[in-house]
Amino acid sequence: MVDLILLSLQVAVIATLINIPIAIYVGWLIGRKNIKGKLILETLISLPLALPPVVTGYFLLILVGREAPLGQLSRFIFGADIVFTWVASAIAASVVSFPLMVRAIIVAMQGVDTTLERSARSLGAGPLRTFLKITMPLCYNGLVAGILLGFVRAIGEFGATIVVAGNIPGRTQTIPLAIYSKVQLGKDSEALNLIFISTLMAIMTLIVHHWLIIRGSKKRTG
Amino acid sequence: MPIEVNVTKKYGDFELMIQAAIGNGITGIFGPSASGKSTLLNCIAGFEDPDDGLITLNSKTVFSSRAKTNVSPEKRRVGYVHQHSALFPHLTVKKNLEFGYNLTEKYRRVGDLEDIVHLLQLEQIMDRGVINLSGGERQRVALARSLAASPDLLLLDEPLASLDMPFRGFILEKLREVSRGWNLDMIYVSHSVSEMIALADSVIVIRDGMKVVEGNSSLLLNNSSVADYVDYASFENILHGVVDGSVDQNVSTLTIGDVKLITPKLTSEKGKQVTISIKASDIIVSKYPPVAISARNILKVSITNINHSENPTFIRCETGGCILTAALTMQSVSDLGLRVSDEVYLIIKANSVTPMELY
Repeated sequence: MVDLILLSLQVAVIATLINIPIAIYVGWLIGRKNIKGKLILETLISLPLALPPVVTGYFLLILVGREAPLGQLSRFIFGADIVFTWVASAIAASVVSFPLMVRAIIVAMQGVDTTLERSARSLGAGPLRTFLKITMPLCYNGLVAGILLGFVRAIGEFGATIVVAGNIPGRTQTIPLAIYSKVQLGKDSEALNLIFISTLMAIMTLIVHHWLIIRGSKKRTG
Repeated sequence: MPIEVNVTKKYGDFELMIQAAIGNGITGIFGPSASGKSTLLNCIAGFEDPDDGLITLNSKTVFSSRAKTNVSPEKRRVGYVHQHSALFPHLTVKKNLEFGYNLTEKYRRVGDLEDIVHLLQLEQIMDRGVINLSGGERQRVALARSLAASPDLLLLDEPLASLDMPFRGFILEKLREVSRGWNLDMIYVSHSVSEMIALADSVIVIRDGMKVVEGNSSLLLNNSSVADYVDYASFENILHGVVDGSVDQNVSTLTIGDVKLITPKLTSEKGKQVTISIKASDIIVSKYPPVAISARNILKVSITNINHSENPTFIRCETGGCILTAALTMQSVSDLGLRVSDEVYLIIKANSVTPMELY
């Protein structure tokens, strides 16, 4: 049971950590820059949100499967496959949760008043310092919401994971997959235990989210 | 510092096409809404790139389409005060001020942070967040923050537009003080003819993206190119004086140049600088010295300029280093037969003098 929870957390945390820098960069590109092909990029990043997760899983299988280029690369470098490992679970969780995270960050970045960034520049701050000291803190709420939304989506990921990582107890079986197995096997009481843990984790994440928001606004109003 | 601007920039139907040499001191940019004033400031600050042209600050090229030069805003050393102050909402007043101050090399710093805090009287609010500050406090912080970065040039985009009278007076006074004391050149954008005449050494009028006229700021009172959008009825004389003392509990005296003016009770102590405003339409002109009159201020002045073309007609008068403009109807001017260099008497009630004191 503990291993199951730890593996689920490991997959979700790694997926979230991979997504954060990419989501911030893409959020900035879409939210703040006038780039060409914005519509295509926006469609592409939101696609996993619109697709059935099983379909996303199938696309991932094509990308990282044994015979796929990424799969072969992994075998060449690490001497191991990606599919049917926890790494595949993390990739699946990452791809499926990315749109939720990035969309919250885009909205937050679009909400930052450009005159504040301009003021920072005229006070002598370069683009990077302005981004870190002004844009990012002002995106705080959206950033926190996006990261935690991504995290809860990652921890609950099922459809894409089962296609690309399977449902192997002790190796790729995360809480949602275990609940599915227990219900299938008629082990209702064990399933209920996991459902309870799953609900508890969701509530705790939401509490952390609110706590971070309140803490942030207290800090701001001083 | 000398500034040379020769730029074009197109936005849809609008085109900014400005060629101007801006000298030392405070230069006003005057024009109706959407005439390109803010775009011009943004080009100078480096926030917007002209489509074509050249901008030099102190003989240093900061933008040149031909040489493909475009110095980034943070390296131009140009301060910018926005109409809505643009303070960083996640930082305290102190941190807002330190933002630019800490980024300025020590040898470049014109003043200590403490001096700037003292100048703008911010001691009491340093540890507060900026969200709950009043409009006047915000604008004082915004000005202090820009000064703390020791800019070579300060751009001000309608900094007083949303402020109450006392704060306007205070900021105008400080801008003059800084401009002279620090030798800091400023470009000041405003809709207000009163502010322009009180503050700017020279003015450039722009309209539909083009320069219409330039010269001494008093041209705004007698130039036909601005007459159709200027609200002359609200024109006020903004003057800086020194508190002389109180006459009784209701009135004080103020010295402006060699002129002593009776004003409503001033809260500032004797010897302190105070800014006052007198509406041009509140001033009565008499050819002969009035006798037995309730108005407290009767000034013997000579007329230096009469603007015959517009209604109201502005009569610019001078005495002992104090310049006052009165607004009269054309009929009064012709009935009295007023002419330039005539000596006349200006009658001003004590209560027509509005102190712009902060506290």
